[in-house]
Amino acid sequence: MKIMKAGRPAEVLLVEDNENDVILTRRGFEAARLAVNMHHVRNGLECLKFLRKEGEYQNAPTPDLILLDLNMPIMDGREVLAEIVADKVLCQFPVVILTTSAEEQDLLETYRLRCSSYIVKPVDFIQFQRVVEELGNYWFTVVVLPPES
Amino acid sequence: MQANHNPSEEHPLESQAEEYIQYTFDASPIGMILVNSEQKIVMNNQSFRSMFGYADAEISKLVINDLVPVGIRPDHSNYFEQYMRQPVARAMGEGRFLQGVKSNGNSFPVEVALTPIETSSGLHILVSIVDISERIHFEEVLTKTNQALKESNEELKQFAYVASHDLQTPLRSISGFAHFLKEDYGNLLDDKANEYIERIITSCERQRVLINDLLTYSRLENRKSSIQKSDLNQLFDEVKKSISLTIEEKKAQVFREELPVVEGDSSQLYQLLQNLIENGLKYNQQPQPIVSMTATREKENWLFTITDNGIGISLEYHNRIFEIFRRLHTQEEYSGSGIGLAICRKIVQRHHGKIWVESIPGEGSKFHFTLPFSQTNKLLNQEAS
Repeated sequence: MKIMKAGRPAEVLLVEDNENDVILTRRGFEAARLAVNMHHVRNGLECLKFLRKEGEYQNAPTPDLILLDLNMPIMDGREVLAEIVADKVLCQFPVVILTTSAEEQDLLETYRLRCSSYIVKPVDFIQFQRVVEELGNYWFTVVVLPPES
Repeated sequence: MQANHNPSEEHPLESQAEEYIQYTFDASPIGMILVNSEQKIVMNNQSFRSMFGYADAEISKLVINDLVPVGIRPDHSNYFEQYMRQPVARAMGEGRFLQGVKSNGNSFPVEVALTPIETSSGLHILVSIVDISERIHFEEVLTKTNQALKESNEELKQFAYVASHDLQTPLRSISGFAHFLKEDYGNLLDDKANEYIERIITSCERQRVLINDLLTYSRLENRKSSIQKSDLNQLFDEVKKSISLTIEEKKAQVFREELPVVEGDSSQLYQLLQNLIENGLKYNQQPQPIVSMTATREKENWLFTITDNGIGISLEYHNRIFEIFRRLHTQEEYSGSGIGLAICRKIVQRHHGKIWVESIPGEGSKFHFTLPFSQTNKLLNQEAS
C-alpha cells in the first residue's frame, strides 16, 4: 500500500448511477494499491444527503474527494455541482467530474462551476484503470487536501 | 373581341389601331385594367376576366375597391387618391402582401404594377395584375421542406453524437468484466474459455475504434471549425512522429516534398494527413512500404498527392471508398471502421476542396485532394448550419 498524504485511508464519494462503472472504479483503486474507502451514491440528491449527513447517511464520513458523474437520474451532476458550489460548507470539497461525455458544453459548464478536474472516462478498460490509478495517486499522495472540519 | 371602350368610327386608321391594341391587350397573360379617376374600369382584358371571374358586362359596374378585400377598402381609396395626385409608374403596395377578390368573394395573392396614362379624357391608371397563388404555394412548400430537412439533419447529427456516447458506457463494462474474468479466473478456465474471453476483448477494442471514428465524423458536423494558417510540413512531420512505431515495424519510408502553408482547421488537416498516410501503410504488403506527399500549385488551388506503393484499389471502388462504412476487406484481412476516408472527404469538402483516388490494383494508389489558396470569406461550417 502507498502512503497516503492524510496518514489514513482516503474517503472517496463516487456519485454514479451505473453499477458496472462503480465496480470498475473500485477495482481501479484496488489495482492502484491505494488505501481508499470508496463510498457510493446513485444520484445528486443522495450525494447532497451524504455530504450533509442526513437520514441514512447520519454516520457517513466526510469525503476527501467527490467523483461526480454528469448524467444521472433524479438530480444530475451539473445540478449537484451547482448546489455544492453555492453551499458555504460543501464548497470546500474537491469535485472531480468523471464522465463519458466529452462534450465541450459539459466541460465549459462544469469548469465555470469550478469543478476541480474534468476527466473523460476512457472506453478502453485498461486505460480506464490507469486513469483511476493516476487520479488516486494525484489526489491522495501528491495533493494536500483541506483538513477535516 | 370584348372591349367596353367603343372604338372611334370616324377615323378608320385609328379604329384599326385600337383594334390591334385590344387584341394585344387580350393576349397578355397578365391581368390588365385601365382605371379612370372615378375608380371605374374603362378597359379590361381576357386575363383579368378569368383571373377575377367577371363577365365583361359586369365590369363596367365595378369600382376598383370591389377587387380588394373588404378590410382594406377605406385605405385603398386613400391610396388611390394619393396616387392620382402623384402618379408615377411603380409596383403597388411594395413589401406588402396584396390580395385580389374574385367575383365569388374568394381572395388570392397578387402582384400589382401601376402605370399612369394621360389620355384626352383625363388621367388613367393602367393596372397590371399577376396571380401569384402558385408561386406562394411553392414558396410555402419549399420553406416547409427546407425546415423539415434542417430538422432531420439536426436530429441525425444529434443522433450520431448521442448514440456514440451512449454506446461507449456498456462497452467499457463488457471489456472491463472480460478483463476481470481473465485476470481473476483465467487460470481456472480451459484454453477455449480463455480464447473466448480474448475474443470478447478484441471485439470490444474494434467497437471502440468504430465508435471513436463515428464520433470524429459526427463532430466534424457539430463543431465549428477554426481557420488558421496551417503549415502542412509541420502537420506532416507530426503525423509521421505519431506513427513512428508503425513505420519502424513495417520498415516503411514516409517522406514529403516541401509543402505550403494553407488556410484551414489544423486539427482537421492533421487528421486528413494521418488517415491518408496510415492507409498507405496499412493497405500495403511491400517489403518496404513507401508513402510520399507532394504539392502542386494550380491555377486556383493547391493540388496535393499522397502516393503509396500498396495494394491499390479497383476502378469500380474509386468513388465508393469515400462513403461511410464502405469497406473492401474483412476485419481479418485489414482491420478498420470504414469511416476513415469518409472523414477525409468531409474534411476536404469543409475546406472547399475535392478528394479523389487514382489507382490500379497491385500498383499502389495516389490520393489527390485540393485546397483553395485562401478560405477568406468562406465559412467552413456552411453545410453544417
